[in-house]
Amino acid sequence: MRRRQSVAALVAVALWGCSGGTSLPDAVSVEVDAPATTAPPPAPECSEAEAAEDATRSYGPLSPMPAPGGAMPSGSKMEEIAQRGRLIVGISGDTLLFGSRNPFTGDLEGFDVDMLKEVALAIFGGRYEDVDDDELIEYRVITYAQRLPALEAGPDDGGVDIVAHTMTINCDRWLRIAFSSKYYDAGQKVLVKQDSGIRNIGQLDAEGARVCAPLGSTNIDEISDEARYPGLEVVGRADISDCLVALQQGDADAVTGDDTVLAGFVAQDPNTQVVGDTFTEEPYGLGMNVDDIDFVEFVNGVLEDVRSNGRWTELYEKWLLDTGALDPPAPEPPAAVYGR
Amino acid sequence: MLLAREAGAALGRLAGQGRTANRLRGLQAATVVAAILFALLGSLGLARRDAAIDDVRQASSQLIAVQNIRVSLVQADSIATSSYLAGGQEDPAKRTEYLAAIARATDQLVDVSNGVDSADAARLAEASELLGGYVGLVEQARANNRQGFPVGAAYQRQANAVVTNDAPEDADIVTLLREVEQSQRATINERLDDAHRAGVWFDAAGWTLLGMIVVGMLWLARRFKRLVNVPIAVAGVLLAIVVLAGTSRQGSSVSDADEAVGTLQTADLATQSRAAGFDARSQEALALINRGNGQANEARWLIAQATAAQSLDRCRVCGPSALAFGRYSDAHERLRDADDSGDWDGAVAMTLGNQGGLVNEFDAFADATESVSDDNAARADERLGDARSGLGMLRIVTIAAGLIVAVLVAIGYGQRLREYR
Repeated sequence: MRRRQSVAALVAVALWGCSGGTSLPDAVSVEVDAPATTAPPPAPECSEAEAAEDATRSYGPLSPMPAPGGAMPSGSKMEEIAQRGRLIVGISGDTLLFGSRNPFTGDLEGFDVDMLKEVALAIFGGRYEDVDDDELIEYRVITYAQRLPALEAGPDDGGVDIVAHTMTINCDRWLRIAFSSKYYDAGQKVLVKQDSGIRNIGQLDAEGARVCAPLGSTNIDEISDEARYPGLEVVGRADISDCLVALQQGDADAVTGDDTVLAGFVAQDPNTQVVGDTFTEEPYGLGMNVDDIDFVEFVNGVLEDVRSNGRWTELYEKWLLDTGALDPPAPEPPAAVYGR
Repeated sequence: MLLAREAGAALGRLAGQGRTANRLRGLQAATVVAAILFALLGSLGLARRDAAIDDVRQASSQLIAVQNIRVSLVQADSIATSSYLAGGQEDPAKRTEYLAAIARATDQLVDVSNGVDSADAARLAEASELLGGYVGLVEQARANNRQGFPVGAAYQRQANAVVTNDAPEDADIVTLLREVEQSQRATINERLDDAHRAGVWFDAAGWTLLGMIVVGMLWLARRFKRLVNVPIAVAGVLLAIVVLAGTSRQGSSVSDADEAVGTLQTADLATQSRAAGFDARSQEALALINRGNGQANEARWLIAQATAAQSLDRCRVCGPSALAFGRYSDAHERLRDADDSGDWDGAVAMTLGNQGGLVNEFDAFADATESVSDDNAARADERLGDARSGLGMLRIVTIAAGLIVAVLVAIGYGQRLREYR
């Protein structure tokens, strides 16, 4: 046995001499081929004549409105939703005050979420407090980029019935989806540190400041216009909340975005403030499928009620004044424009 | 005429005797030099092999240690991301586990930095600095999250990017550690080759000397009509014993080193799968944190999953780990189905271990790979110790044998040379 081991050892010497010995392979490395993608077709754009029209003009409100929880008009989108038993909605998950998850309760909440609850109650009836318990709404948290595709796909193909996602009404989007009447007047502003001494975007431009905006947003397009802001140093981040981090870490001097989003940032960081006037207009509307005109009319009817019965002001106070994000008084609800 | 012929024959005999004496002296000198060379080169080769195997052992130990840092770190990150989803309901035990993993990684970074070259030390120093920043970002994420601020998610994402990211321009800890691991792998393979080459010196010098002694003995036996030159025969026998014993010992050393490398590879693969598994868990939680925007994290989950699966596939003794990982992967699919169909809360409950058995499956995989990794790393170290065992003594024996053979050969040839004085 011992001799056999010795022979094996001698053979091993010879083999090792021939082979150059064993070796430890490199670490396992996985290369994943990028999925074959085809470039999406270019988004349709409005003609100059179309763009000149008022984009906030929507379909007239349904009149008379069906009773909440009662029979919805036969063959309508509302009847389809009522029969399904829940409204499928697309919202933001991280826009504090408009659409974000409360980590203590686990619930999605905000001004946009409450707007959708108003729509759900108008279809199903019941009490406001019971919307979540009765699962009258199925929430789908979506990104900015997913808003239009989710509406185009529809709920049967992984999409949604309606989107409330700080979405600006504009002419190009009307070519793909339909909007309700305007439910909030937003605009682009800047957020700075309280002790920065900065008062507006012009001062930032004059001082050659670093201003952060999310990549691919209309906000970054606005400040990248060198003709208007030749001095700004644009800092791009994947997400608007990454811009707040950049401001807190000193990687940016200011953040620009819709005043609604920036108000949420002030609520998260009291050492910051929103300064200056809005330098763009961002009228928000609820988005729906372009073919669901009956549903748009119904939602506009809901919004009419919300404006006229004081509910809009209550929600504004709840989310934007009581939280300290904006200073009182609450403005008048934005006026609806119809006639599309 | 006869006288002249006899004188010629006598001169011829004298000349022949002179040539034989010269040959004797030449053989004596050459064999003595070969014996001294055997003592020098043989022992030097053995010393080099011994040192090379010791380097392999140290580099193996460093490789495992660096991999353990990587595992500690990705494990900490997976706990931090899962805990973020729990928010204010964070499990205190998980918090303790996170802090322990960070402390372990920090200590291990200090330990490992003491035994690597300057390039690797610089990488580890950078990793250490990044780790400090990572801990700060996680605390920021946690603090914001506990106040209900969504910006915490951005800090959590940034923290994860410090651990690992795809952007070549942004340094991350995992990439730095992998570079150190690769450097240790290169050292292991380079020094294994050195160990192999060093063994040839003993063999070449030993077998050459033995050949010279055998040829010399045969020539002496034919030339002087004496069957055996005792001192040279003793030298030959002694040398044959030492060379055969040495070759055999080196063969065992080779077998031990081979086995050690095979075992180390098993530990290496198990640890790689373990690190990739924890990375997968981090990406799983991040996809849920980035609710609605987690496609990039799911893509990275797939890469981590494939890395873990391939590592387990190449590992010879990771069958139970592979089965557990397969069950975890199936559970992850169910989690994705839940999230994609709108049941985000259900998906979170699954990743936090409150339902669906996902965490149990993952823990089974993590425990199994840890066991394989630890066992095989210890065995590899033991076998590399065995590979060195006896080489020091063999070196002394080689020097002694070479010198004794030199003396015996000098005596043996000297006995014949005396006949010509």
